[in-house]
Amino acid sequence: MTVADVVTKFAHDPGYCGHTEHIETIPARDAIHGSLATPLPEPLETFLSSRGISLYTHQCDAIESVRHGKDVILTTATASGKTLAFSLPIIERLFNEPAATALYLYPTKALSHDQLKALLDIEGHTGISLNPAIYDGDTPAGKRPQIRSGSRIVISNPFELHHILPWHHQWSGFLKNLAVVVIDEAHQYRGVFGSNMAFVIRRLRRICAQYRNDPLMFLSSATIANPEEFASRLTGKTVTCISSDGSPRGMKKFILYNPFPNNDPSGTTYRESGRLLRLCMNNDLRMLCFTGSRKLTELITLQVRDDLIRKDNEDPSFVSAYRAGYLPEERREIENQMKRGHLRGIVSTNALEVGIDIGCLDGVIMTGFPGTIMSTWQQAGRAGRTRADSLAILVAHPDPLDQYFMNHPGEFFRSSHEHAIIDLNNPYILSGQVLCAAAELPITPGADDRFFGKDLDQILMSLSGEHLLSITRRGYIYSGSRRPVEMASLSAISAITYKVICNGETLETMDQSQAFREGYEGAILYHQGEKYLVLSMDPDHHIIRVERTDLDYNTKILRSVNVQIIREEKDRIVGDSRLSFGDVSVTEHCTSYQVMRNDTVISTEPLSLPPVTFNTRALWFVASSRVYSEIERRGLDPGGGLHGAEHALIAIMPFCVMCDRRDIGGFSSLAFPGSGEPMVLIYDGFPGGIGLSEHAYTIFEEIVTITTGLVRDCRCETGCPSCIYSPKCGNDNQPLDKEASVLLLESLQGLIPTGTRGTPAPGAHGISGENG
Amino acid sequence: MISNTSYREVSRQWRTKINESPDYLIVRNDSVFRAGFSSSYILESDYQATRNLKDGLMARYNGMVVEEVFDGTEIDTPDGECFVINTPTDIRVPRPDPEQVRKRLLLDLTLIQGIGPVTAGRLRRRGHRTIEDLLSFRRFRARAEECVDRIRNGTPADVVSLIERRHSSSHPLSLLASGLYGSEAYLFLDRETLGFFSRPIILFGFATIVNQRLVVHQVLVRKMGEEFPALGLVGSRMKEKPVIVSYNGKTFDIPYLISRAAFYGDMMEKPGHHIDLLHASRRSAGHLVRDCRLGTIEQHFLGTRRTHDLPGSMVPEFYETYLHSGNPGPLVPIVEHNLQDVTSLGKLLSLFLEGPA
Repeated sequence: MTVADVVTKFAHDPGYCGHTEHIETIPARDAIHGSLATPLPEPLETFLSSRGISLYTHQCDAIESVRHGKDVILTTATASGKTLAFSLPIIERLFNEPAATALYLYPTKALSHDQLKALLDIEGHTGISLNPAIYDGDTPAGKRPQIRSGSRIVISNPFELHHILPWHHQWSGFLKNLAVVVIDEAHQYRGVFGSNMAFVIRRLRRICAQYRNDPLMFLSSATIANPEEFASRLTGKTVTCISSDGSPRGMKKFILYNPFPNNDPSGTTYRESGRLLRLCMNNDLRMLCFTGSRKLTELITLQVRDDLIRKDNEDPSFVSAYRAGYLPEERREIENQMKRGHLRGIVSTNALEVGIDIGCLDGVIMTGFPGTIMSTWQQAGRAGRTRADSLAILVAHPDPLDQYFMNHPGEFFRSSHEHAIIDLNNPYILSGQVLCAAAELPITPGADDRFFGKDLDQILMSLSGEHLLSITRRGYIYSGSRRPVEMASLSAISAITYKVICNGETLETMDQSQAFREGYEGAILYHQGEKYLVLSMDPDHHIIRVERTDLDYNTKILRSVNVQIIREEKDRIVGDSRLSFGDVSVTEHCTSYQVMRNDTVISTEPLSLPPVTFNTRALWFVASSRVYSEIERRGLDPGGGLHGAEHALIAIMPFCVMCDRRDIGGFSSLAFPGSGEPMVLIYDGFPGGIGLSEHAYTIFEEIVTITTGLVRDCRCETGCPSCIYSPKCGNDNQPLDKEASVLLLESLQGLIPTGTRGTPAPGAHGISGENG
Repeated sequence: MISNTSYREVSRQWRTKINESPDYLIVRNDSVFRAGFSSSYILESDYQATRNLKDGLMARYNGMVVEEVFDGTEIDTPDGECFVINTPTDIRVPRPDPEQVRKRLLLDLTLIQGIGPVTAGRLRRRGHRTIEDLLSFRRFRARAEECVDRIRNGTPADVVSLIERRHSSSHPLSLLASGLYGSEAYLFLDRETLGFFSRPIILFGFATIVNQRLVVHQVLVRKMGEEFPALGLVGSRMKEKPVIVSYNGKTFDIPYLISRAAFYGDMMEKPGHHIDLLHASRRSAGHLVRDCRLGTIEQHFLGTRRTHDLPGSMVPEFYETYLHSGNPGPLVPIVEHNLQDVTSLGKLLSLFLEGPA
């Protein structure tokens, strides 16, 4: 059987075609080879021809860019030869300039090891001396001096770089001669982590400038909507994008599969995933099935094995779960079994989307939308890496974005909406990074503005006021007693952070409001698809202790949210309303939590946590009086309309402004505190804001258009989890009114149905809020 | 958010974070077993005593300025002003007689390449007591000649490098050989900082020998702007003196000075000859003491026990209190602590030079 035969089943077999919402054909493409203005050094040319490699256009573009000293971001597809695209020109440079060095930054250790192997291979074949080495937390102290003085390509990660920058004098030789910095998997540097990373890179550049050097930046990333802007924000340099992909690919069939057509609540995503996996395997396709959690991975594997025995009379060892932490030998063994045909299916969590590298796959099944279109394509790209035909299936959850794609396949396959956001103005991140920098080299206001922005002077003054910095003839220097790189975490935002600890190991850090929302005693917490139970929260030492659990329930926080507008920074007209953006103060009070099994509330437990107030950035709009009276004229509930629109906007926002739904919060009220107007407000869930609502403000029309489509075209009658219900609603999804929500959203597009003005009868509903 | 108030608020939070999480661990009920593997711990009783000490000092020196409390002089350097406190002591550092030193060195047969302790013992039993005695051996003659010549006629640096070819720099003979430079060549060095690395140095203590007596000079950083000129001053003193004497300076003090100079964009070179008394102490008493902290070693060798000494881990907190309040009181025990450290270096070196080699 071939991919085409299986696709036919999806299109016509009554067991499947009812759920198949769309089949997209992504046509095959031939390789487009390019040529270089001048050939590479002879050892490299020999290496390439011995491997039978002829360069694609984008690889040639990348090489020429580096030759011309241009900073670039390369956004071609998975498996398009990106590593070669930056390594070739770098090795050429190192060949021509015997002192030159390069730094490769990877977000994870596993990727560093793959990279080291590739570089050692090239070194071995070309004889060009690179001494590539990994320098990270695992590097033994005895080997470090030798790497610093002898390695010409150092592979590291942002956390290590953050810690070694204060030791720059030990790296003076390396930094003086640093020709290129490679930032691979750059799309991972977004949000809080990315905003911190942007300043780590600026700190590196500032130190290089001290050594009279200005290294080139080479970024490699998955497809995003704003590659140039993103790369320029991340590095502080003007970066050009190379996106035209010269690599060949086979034909791919992409199926959107909906277990919940017509809002049929009886479907289950994971059961359908397992069933489809079996269908493909039994038709001789080698498949990889992604799931959202370890638990689901196990469930699907068990179910498929069971059905293989009972229904198909087949060998259950055709399918295997794939977990994190497999050794390279084990990975090779699995791959070999796949090639030999004995193993036909692997089930894995999303966490392995990068790093898992098993060639020879025919298809990929995604159990639920992976959260971003970018990840979706990365996962889909795992199959058909050779030039054969391949298959990708997205099995939808009942969630709004999943269902939106099922109903609007055009949007799904259109070019990316997803903007990767980096905020250079968060005062917590900025001041923490300034502290770190001031312990590396004195900071000069004015001269160092180009790295830290126009507020640098104010920040230096404020920190000096607390004696954390002191002015000297050479500039401001750090004068605190703790290491700033220890205080300023790259993954957290505020000065006060809670550590989530499991068996003595820190899983993650949370700021205070997030800790109260997710880390209260008794809470069920998810981390990288694993389920944990919170044993205790220690507010004095900011520690949350958790243990791994297999409990079959989940928890949901109930809380009141109050928002005060501090300052309106800008505003503009959107449709029938005025859209504003500015600073707000959010007070969240977590009062109790619900224990839920499936969708049923089993119990409600009280909490005694104090309210948390933080300042952040938000966008807001007032419902126009015209739409308000139209809603009333039709006898609809304006409060439910505001609330529903708020939920739907928050559901769609991650599709345009790459983030997690829990990174943003919302608030709507018929009589907004202060103004008394009917308003919807959406804020960044981090102290100081992280640029999400600010970016949403600029592309608000786009978000509203998509959101309107989501709610209007949802097949439900009065609202459902696929449109205006929110799983995180602190008010238990009360009140909601779908029709009123649609009217409100349409008014933001200037599409207001005119009607006669009815008598005002405002609902009794007060405040509603959502946040994750 | 981008307003002055918010940066002030954020700065306050950073300050709170620092104050809430010091670099040391307080051991409750003085149970040392609770210290675990933490390298810088402080017993609860000492911690309380230290807090009381600080409060007392704050009260006593309230309203005073640094210059009233310490008898120092202001020195102008190309990089700015420094405040130096000079304290003469009556500690004598003996100047070994160069003739005696050279004679003693000639007794060490193992200085000849190819002669280890076993061979040396055998040779001695046969009556060959000095290197000069080996000139009659054809096997050793050439090497012995070179050795004798270097010991008899070489510069101090020649002799020291000869010894260090065969022995570590903390070997008693290396210490003895350094005596050939003359006692004026020594620079004893210690410094107090705001933490283990990448934080400022707040007090540089160094001592020289004038007329065979130890004189201590302490450069006190009254405000952070003085660290850089102080580094320059200490750096130029280090260049004048060929022998640096420190306690754990090889791994700590010297790299720290170099990194601070690099922080300001300057190069500082490693000293030519460096006697690290930690290594010498560990070599001769490491097996007899519970740890090799300077205080413990002092107690072992000099029989002195420090009372009311400020624990090193509390120095940053005391200095920060001075920085915030301007009250010089908390500086008093820091300066005193450092003075004791530097004078101990002089005493220890004397002991090693005089003691049985």
